Amino acid sequence: MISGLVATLNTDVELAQSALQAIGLHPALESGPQKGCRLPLVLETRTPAESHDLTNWLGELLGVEHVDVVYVDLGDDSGSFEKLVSHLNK
Amino acid sequence: MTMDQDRRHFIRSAAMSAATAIASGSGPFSLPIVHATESSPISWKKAPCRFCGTGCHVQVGVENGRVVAIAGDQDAEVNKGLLCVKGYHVGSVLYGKDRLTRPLLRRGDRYEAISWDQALDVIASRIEAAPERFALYGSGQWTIPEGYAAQKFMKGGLSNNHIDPNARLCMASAVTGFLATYGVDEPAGCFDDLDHCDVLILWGNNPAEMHPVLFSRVVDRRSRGASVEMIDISTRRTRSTEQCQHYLEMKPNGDVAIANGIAHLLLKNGTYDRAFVESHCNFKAPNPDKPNLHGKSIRFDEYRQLLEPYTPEYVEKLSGVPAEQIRMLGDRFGNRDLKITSLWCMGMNQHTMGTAINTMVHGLHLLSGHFGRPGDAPTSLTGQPSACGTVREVGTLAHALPGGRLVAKPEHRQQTEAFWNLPEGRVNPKPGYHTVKMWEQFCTPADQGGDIDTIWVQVTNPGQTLPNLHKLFNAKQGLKEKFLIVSDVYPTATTQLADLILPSAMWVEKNGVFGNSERRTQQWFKMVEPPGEARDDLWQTLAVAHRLFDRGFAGMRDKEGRFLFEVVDDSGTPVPAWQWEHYYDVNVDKHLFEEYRPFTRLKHKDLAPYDEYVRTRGMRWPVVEQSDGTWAETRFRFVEGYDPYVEEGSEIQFYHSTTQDHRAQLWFHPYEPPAEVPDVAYPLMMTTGRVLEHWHSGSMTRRIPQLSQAMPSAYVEMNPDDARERGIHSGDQVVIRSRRGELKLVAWVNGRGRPPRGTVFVPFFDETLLINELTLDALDPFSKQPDYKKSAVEVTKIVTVHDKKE
Repeated sequence: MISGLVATLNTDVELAQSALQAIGLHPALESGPQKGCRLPLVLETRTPAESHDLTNWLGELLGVEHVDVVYVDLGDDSGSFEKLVSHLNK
Repeated sequence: MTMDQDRRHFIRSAAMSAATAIASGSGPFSLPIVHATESSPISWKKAPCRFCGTGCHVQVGVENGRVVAIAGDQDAEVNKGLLCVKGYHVGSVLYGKDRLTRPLLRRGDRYEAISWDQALDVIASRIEAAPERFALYGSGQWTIPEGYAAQKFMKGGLSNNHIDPNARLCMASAVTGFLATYGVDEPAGCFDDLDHCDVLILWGNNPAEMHPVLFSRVVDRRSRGASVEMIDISTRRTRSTEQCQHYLEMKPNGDVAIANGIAHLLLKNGTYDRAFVESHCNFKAPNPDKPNLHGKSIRFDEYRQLLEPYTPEYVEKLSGVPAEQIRMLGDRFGNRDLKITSLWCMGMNQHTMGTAINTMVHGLHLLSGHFGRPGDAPTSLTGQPSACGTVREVGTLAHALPGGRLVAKPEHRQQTEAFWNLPEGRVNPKPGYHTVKMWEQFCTPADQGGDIDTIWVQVTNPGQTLPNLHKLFNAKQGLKEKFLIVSDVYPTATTQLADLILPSAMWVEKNGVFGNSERRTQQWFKMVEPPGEARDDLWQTLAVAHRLFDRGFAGMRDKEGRFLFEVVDDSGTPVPAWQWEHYYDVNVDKHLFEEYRPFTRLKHKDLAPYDEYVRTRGMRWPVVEQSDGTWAETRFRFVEGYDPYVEEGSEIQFYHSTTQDHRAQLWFHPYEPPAEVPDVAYPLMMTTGRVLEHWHSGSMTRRIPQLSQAMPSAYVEMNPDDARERGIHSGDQVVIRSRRGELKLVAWVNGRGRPPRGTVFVPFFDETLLINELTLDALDPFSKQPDYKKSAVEVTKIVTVHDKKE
């Protein structure tokens, strides 16, 4: 699963630097050219759950104010009919 | 590079382009631009986004039978390559884990999978048993051909007018406002006005979240150096407020007083446009003896006299907006050098004076002459992709027939019967039940007068969106004679009470045509297969109609005994489109669209042939054929030089005037307080609405992880003083109570929006937290649209954040 993200960095330079370092070390993240306090990123994971967790991780970094998800491709993650009937019969 | 690697590379590039574009933007509303390159392994086709009424075009990337990417369409005038966060995720709505894939019939307290053949029999039997007690409830998400077929099925086939859409809940007051003012529905201007206005006034409107691409058109102009003044008139601060130079905080229903205050000043200061008014306007006031959209005619001096009390100071008292700010608005409207665009949506429509305030804002533009130049326009927005195209133009309303016709008018019934080749008298002259009445009758036991036994719901979610849900929806539970059929793509709050659930195809799983908020008709083709046995809503309607035809139901035959929905191929041979395996042998959408087109000319809303829409990113009606055989759209109606139906030398001509003199009606309405006001027991005013990340009831967007994660659940937004008084902090669990119900929510003090003292806000997107169990079902008397914005409530803390952590 591939997503395009924009991380808004903290205005505190030291905090922002520590976040950039952590992001740079993460193999699932690719950084684009930083524009002011905004950092474009591509996130690639195997599953939506992983993507969800990593986006959360990113948002929780001290040097990151918030994360916007601006693009996503669609993984193959279809559910089953049995699951659906079970949900409806709950 | 292998195909997989190539695709992966492309997707990564597209994701980085989008992220870089937004990171480079100068403000929070600059949205990403992604271009669908031809070098990718993905095949790209155009489609309008299936969310709001803006009608952004997207490029849909398909690979191996799946939608794999979405890009903004740079060739589309509406969005010029931009999309909002929902638009970028629109492809994901197809792939939630719990798509409905087979018909399900309730047996006792369980559901059992049945065949489509069985499902069609169940529906046909319910209709045959009592066709007059059957109702069809749809929405502005019906495509134009779907809505047209539903309309013909009900009014032409069953002689039954109990068909209404959820659009009754969102823009019915806009319709009655246009009709009462111009004699014909829908905006005269278009989105181009946003590119030309000097002043943008938001009347109870939050386009930064609800119509972000349109809002970005204006904000981006300003960021490029244009001088655009933005004025927000609202009951709470929103994301839109942040971009506005002026914020006018009004009390509920204060807009009516403000409009009167501006008109008062225009007359008092002599800054109204006398020439425009004398040439193009009549004056109207409500007629208490005969309340209708015609009202009673009044003279200019009577109009002036009625407005006399509405001094800025008196308006301040009624609306809470300081007199100085009323004067500021009066000055803006009184300045003809400026170009003013007014925008509104639910704030003015979900209002017990919805028709009144709609006519009054049109009236301000007419009185001041801010009408007819690009940038000078009163513009109402819609929330659904085809609220205009399907509901308002096809007329899927209980009182309407296609093309602006009315069931109550004999000549309109005759025209409709002629177009449909029906015997005279087939169309029932009595209007059916509007939405609230329909559901009230359904939820009332038959022996107590509840004369609707079966409702078939398509493309909407009334179990979440109706007001006062305990009364209008939940009361169905336990009524054995009542039967609810729901066609949908996912399980929803509505399917929870359904007796029969039908799995539907959605968006690019089917052909479609939408009509957006600026009169633009947009077409797309099916691109991928629906999952399992999910099928087009249009096919479902045709198949039920044919099942009735097979059983000898007379209404499903025309005058010659032919099936009402007979579709022929190029050689003129009938195609059995009611059989799923043959449904796509022909383009049924095109067939029905061409059948519908002649209806559109009565009100000069002419549509071009279907194939013209295949070529373009939509065209704004009236679309008229030129001498060289090309088809030309119309940007500004009623204006000479733009609108082909305006006579030469007229400058402005309201050619559907209700007074038949080519004049618009300029209305006075006195201020009235809301239907429910806070008191000792319920001291807070609750307003409900939407948020950026979710579309309406959230049945699609809550299944998109990125959107759901960004805004996972509903909350109650509170003013810090109100919260402090109740010992409430952000994150505390609270109970919110109205006279109709109660709900546990998490409090958000000064949240995304900032409500003033005495006001709380709750979004309605969350199926697990149904705020409409608390909302009031008071209606506008003309549009029959409920007021979701003003319910008296109390909020009490039950669990503090601190307790929860422990």
